[in-house]
Order: sequence, then structure tokens, then C-alpha cells
Amino acid sequence: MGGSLPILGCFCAGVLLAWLGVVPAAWLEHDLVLPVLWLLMFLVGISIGADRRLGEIVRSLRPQVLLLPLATTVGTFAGTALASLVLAWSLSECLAVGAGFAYYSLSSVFITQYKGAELGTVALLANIMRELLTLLAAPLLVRLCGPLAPISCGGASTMDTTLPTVARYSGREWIFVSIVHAMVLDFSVPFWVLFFCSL
Amino acid sequence: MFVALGLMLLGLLLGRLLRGQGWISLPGRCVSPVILLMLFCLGLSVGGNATLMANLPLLGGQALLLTLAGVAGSLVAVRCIRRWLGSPGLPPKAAKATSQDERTL
Repeated sequence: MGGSLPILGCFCAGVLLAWLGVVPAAWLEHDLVLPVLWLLMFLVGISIGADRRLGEIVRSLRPQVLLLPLATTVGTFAGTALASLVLAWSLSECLAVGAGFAYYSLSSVFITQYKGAELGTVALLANIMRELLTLLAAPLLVRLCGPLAPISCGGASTMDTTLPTVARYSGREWIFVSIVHAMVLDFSVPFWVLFFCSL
Repeated sequence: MFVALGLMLLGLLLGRLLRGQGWISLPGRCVSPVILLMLFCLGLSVGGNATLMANLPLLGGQALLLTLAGVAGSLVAVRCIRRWLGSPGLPPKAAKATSQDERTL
């Protein structure tokens, strides 16, 4: 079992090396994350396909699965609403940031457009952090709150960037729950963000 | 996103076709090291982005608070619904049946 420390270590090593400027410039110019992610998705696909329990797992998906994106939405809104009490931003502005559900590209573009670059940057950082937190803390989250925790924490990213991590630490049997969860949230992001920006 | 999902489906198909081959467990065992590699690359792109690094201490604190609050809220909500979502590999009905079988044995 890998644990969160090697994951955090690899990330910090990358930040430090890039910041110190000791890595080849070509590594920074081209986004290396995407091809590695693609390789990862392919590997995860093979390992699910080769799993004899595949059919059983798909058949066991029930409508209750939709409770998970609902819980993520309600929980995220409740948490960010509480945080708005101590921040300079208004309730609706904090909710708009929270409603990105780690979908940072889309939510930060919308928020920059409607609320200005400052809140847009907060939205970008907050939603990148949410994705990062999922990637880094997944083993810890599973140990503390069970296999559903990394899925809920990952928000809308659990069908691409954080899917391999979910498969690895929550277990491959959760992969379809994870995809359904991300699809529901993904479609809801523009709706929620625009709604809170218009308040 | 669609490329990533497409590649996973391709892998899924390939894995299904080659099921039973001895070496088919190898890709699954490569997942953990490749996750580490991806995080290293993500670190490179964060550390190499001067604007992001400069803004990190300024707006990062607020962003971190919002993230932690949102995630904490999600985790509390998940704890509340966990009982209705048994493990998909082992639906509650099957689990109950197994335990009953064990009792009768």
C-alpha cells in the first residue's frame, strides 16, 4: 500500500525542481501531465477489463448511486457557506467558488468573467487544490472515511484525472460509481456557477 | 477528457479480450508508479508557472480555506448516506445471503 507520503513527495519534488529551474525547459513547455494521464487511463482500462467481476459490478449499480453526487453538492455548499462567515467574500461568491467541484478550468473562466479576476484566481486555486487534495490524500481519506470519501472529495474530476487514484485506493469496484458521480457534477457545474454569480 | 475516457474504454475492451492471459495483471500493477509519475509532472507544471507561484501566498490562503471547508462538508454528507451505498462489488442483498448461508452451514 503506497500511502499519501510518496504521492506528496513526488508532487513536491516536481514543484521544487521546476521552481529551482533545474529541469529541462522542454519539460515545462509541454504539458506532460496529459500524456501520462492518458497512459494511466489506458492501464486502468485494461485492469478493469481483465477483472472477472466486471459484469457483476456493472449489474450491481443501483439508483442509490445518485445519492453520492447529491451528498457532494449539499456537503460542499454547506462547508463553503460556513467558510464565507470568516472570509471577505459574500455567501454567493463563496458558493460560486465551491460549485466548481474541482472543475477548475470552466468554473474559473465563468467566475473571472462575472465576478472579476481576483475571485476567478481564488476559484482556480481552490478547485486545483481540491483535485490535488484528492490525489494526495486518497489513501488517508479511504482509511478515515471509507471508499466513498475520495470520490466525493474529487468532485467532477473523478471520471478523468482522479479516476486512476480512486480505482487504486477505493477499489476497482467503485469505478462506475465514480464515473456516474463525476458526470452528474460535471453537467451541474455551469448551472450552479452561473446561478451563484447572478445572485 | 473524452480522449482519456476513450482510452480507458479501449483498454477495457483489450483487457476483456485478453482476459486469462498470464501477463494481464501487469498493467494493473503499473498503476501506482504511474500515479507517482503523474503527480511529479503536475508538480513540474505548478512550479514552472510563475503567475501561479506568485499568487499562491496571496489568494491561496482563501482558496485553501474554501477547499477544506467544501471537502469537509462533502465528507460529512457522505458519512450520512454511506449506509445506503453498499459496496458495488458486493450488494447488501448478496452479503446478507452469504451470511445466512454461513449460518445454515
